[in-house]
Amino acid sequence: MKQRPKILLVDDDVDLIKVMSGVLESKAYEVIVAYNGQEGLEKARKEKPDLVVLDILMPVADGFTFADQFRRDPALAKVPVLVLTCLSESLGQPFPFEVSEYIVKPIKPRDLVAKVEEFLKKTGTTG
Amino acid sequence: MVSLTQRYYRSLYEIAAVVNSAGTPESVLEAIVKTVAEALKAKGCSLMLLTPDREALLHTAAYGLSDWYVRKGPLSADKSISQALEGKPVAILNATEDERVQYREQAKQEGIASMLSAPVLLKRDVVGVIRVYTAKQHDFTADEIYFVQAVANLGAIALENARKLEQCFTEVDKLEEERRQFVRFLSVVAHDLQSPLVATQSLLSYIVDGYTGDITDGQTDLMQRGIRRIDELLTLITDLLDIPRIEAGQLAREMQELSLSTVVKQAVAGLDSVARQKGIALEVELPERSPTVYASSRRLQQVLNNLISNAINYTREGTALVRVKECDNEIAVEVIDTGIGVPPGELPRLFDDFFRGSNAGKKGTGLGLSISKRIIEAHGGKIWAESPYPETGKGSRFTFALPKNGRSGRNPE
Repeated sequence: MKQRPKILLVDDDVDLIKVMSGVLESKAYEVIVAYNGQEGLEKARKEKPDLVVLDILMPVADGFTFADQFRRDPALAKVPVLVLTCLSESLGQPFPFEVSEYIVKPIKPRDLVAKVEEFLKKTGTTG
Repeated sequence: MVSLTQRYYRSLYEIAAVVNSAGTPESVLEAIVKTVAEALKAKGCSLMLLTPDREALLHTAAYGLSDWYVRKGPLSADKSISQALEGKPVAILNATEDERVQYREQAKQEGIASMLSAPVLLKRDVVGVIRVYTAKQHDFTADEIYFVQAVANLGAIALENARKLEQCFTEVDKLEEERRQFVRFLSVVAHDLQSPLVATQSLLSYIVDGYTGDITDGQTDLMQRGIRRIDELLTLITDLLDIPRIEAGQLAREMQELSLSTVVKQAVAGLDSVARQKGIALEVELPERSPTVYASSRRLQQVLNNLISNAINYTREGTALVRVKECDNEIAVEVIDTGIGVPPGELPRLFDDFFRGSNAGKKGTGLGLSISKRIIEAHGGKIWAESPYPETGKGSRFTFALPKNGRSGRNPE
């Protein structure tokens, strides 16, 4: 029986990380942050989160590369990934891997919480 | 028995056909030498053109000659060639012995008896030489000489056209590549413009939603105004950056065969609550069988959202009706409202970029209709407005028509 569900946030925007962490921590989730794909992979392997919220468009080791490597790692492959994206980018460019779901930016804090809860419920991890 | 004149006319006709066709430079050259040889019933024909710097004569096309003979070497010492280059045709009865011919031995081995060398003219400049070779000794008549030159000159025009066409295609390819790069550049620009706005909006929402503690109603109001302004700016950026993408023909990637009725129903469902809040009835009329169109679902929804929300916004009370009609060659979608209409003077400018009608409120960028027009035209369709709606004498009708079933005719990228 898990303690608090652990969520890994991967986004290069410090302000968005600040807002998302605040929102999720206030709902008693444990939040780990990473500001680029490389850092995200390291922290994912170390901390083994229950859910990853990933910005698909980051410059360094961008989101696609992160997700691809994430999926290839047997230890991480089963973790659900919630992808953040801007509407104009998500179309016309198919995701090169299977993501569980995606959210279009800009997201309202309550929508983020709702989506996270929905995901964790689906995978049977509840706080 | 076909007379000489008839043969000439036939050859000129064939060459004219080549001139008119959009053939490659190579095909034009081959047509010239073949036609001349056949018309004169000669052994062969070759065409040599001067290089742009006029220093060398290049063998450009040959018919009825062996490769070996064609590649015999430079013609710098050939007097018949130099004379032709000065604009005078030279007919040589015995090519294997005449001193004016540089490669007499080779001519003998190739089985050439007589030779005609004539200038090829383009706009009064000599651009090359055409040569006709016979297997038996032949006294070229004035008619024949004239004919060969006429064909060669026509051919020079055809060649010039073919080359210009090739140049155009290269230019077009270059421009299209530049346009694609520009669109890629814009994607980066869009992202860089949108990211800070998205972050700012999130920060404001964070406060408004109470995560930093209680805030007063006054503070909430101000922050929500900020959030709305950011929304408008995000929409404007998306719209502005959308336009070059649509113009560059990138919509083709999103297109597929789809049911128009489904798309219409989705759009209407999305705006149902908005209409209801304003007390306006939103109705739909669909044909029994849903027509199929080749289109982008997302983009058609964009157009429908634009037209239907306009209908709702510019109507104080009454109805907004969306009707799908199947005609002979096309499918028409009409959005009819009982609203305030468009002043007749403004109808032609409605679909212009940034056009805000005098009836329009303060909201909006003026890009909605111009983008809708671009989208519909990228689908091979048309869009237009009528105000008042002819059948009732009031309100407006906005219609767009799409080609039925097939592809729009645009080349996919």
